[in-house]
Amino acid sequence: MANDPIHQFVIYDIFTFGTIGGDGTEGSGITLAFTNSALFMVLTTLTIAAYLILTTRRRGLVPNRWQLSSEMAYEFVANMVRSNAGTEGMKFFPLVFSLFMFIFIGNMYGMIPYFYTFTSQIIVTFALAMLVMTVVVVYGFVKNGPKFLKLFVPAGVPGYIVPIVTPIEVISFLSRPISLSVRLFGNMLAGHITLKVFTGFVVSLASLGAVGVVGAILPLIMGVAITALEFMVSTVQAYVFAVLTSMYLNDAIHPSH
Amino acid sequence: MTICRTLVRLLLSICFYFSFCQRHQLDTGGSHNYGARDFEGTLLPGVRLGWSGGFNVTKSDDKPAEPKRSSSETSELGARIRKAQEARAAANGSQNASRQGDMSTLARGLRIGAEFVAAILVGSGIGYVIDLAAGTSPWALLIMFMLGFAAGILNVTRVVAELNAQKPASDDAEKLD
Repeated sequence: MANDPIHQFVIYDIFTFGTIGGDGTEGSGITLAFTNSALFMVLTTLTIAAYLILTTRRRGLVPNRWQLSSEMAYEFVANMVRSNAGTEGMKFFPLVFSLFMFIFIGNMYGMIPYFYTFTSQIIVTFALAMLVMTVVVVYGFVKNGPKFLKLFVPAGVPGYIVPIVTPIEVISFLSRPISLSVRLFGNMLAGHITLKVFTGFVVSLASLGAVGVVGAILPLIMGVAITALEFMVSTVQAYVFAVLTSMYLNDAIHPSH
Repeated sequence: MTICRTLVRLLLSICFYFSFCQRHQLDTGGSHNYGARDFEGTLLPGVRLGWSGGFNVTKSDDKPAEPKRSSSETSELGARIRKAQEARAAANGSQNASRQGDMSTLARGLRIGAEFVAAILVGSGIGYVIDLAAGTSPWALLIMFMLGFAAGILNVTRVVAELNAQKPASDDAEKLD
């Protein structure tokens, strides 16, 4: 296990809720299971809820440190939403804040040894991205009606170019959930594999004797550096996801480019 | 199956490539480039807001309790406080702008890469589905691949234009604060 960099992504069932459908044989039907990935999602949600409830329990005009920290998180996301989607976008603040905190805390849990990083699963990040895109499409049509389709026809384009530009715009729009999810998933997966590979070198080199122990210092330094880098990537990716969410919501609110 | 695997491998290696070149750039970019401070930097407006809010509150609380000072003395003090606050805001503003720029170097590169690849994948995927449905293999795939490529270029130019427009805009926003 120690030298297998992919092993950390293995999913196993903690307990199952039972099987739907299938003919009773092994592997048929859909088994609803509570996996280690789900455990960490629940843990993340509980952490965020406990943090926000406990820090805002005793609210003061002059905040104490804990209250200040959650106010900072609020201000950080609120400023991001306001600058990217305008004050109108603040009705989506709960969504953006939840997404940001969920990804951020989830990435941070992933940095603790032996903890599972659920953001390194593309299905999780893709589900989050599809949630955002569904909100954008549904709200866009509800608020603007058919005018929402103006998003695919840039203003000021001569009529004979529209048939060429529109499919490109449609593909560009459809690629958003893919790029949104692949970016987060790719960063977390690649980062954790790199981390595991470099620290795996330490173990294999150190088992070679005195020369190996000296040589193991280099990958150890790399491991420490990459750990720091991974903390940064975790925060940056949560930030990027939230920024892009608010930018896409801006398209739903103001569909013309 | 093998095509699928090759695609996944290609995507992973692209991810690796982009993350590594961005990381390299980040390491050599200068001493103020490190991540933890970048994040702190973007949080700073919040800190500043919280602090100045607290300051105003204590100021208005103190006023009636203190013995009356001459108006020239308080206005002079007020002017000095304002000057100090402005200087601090300006310093914070310029720092924030540079930090925000540095923070996005990593995010920027990854974003551009993902945007480009995603558009090509989506375009080819749509073409493949059309081929399956209409039996026109491989023409729809080829055409949609080209369109996907164009959409990828469009995505990249849009992201770059956005990022270029963001920088002076964020500078102004910081100054207005």
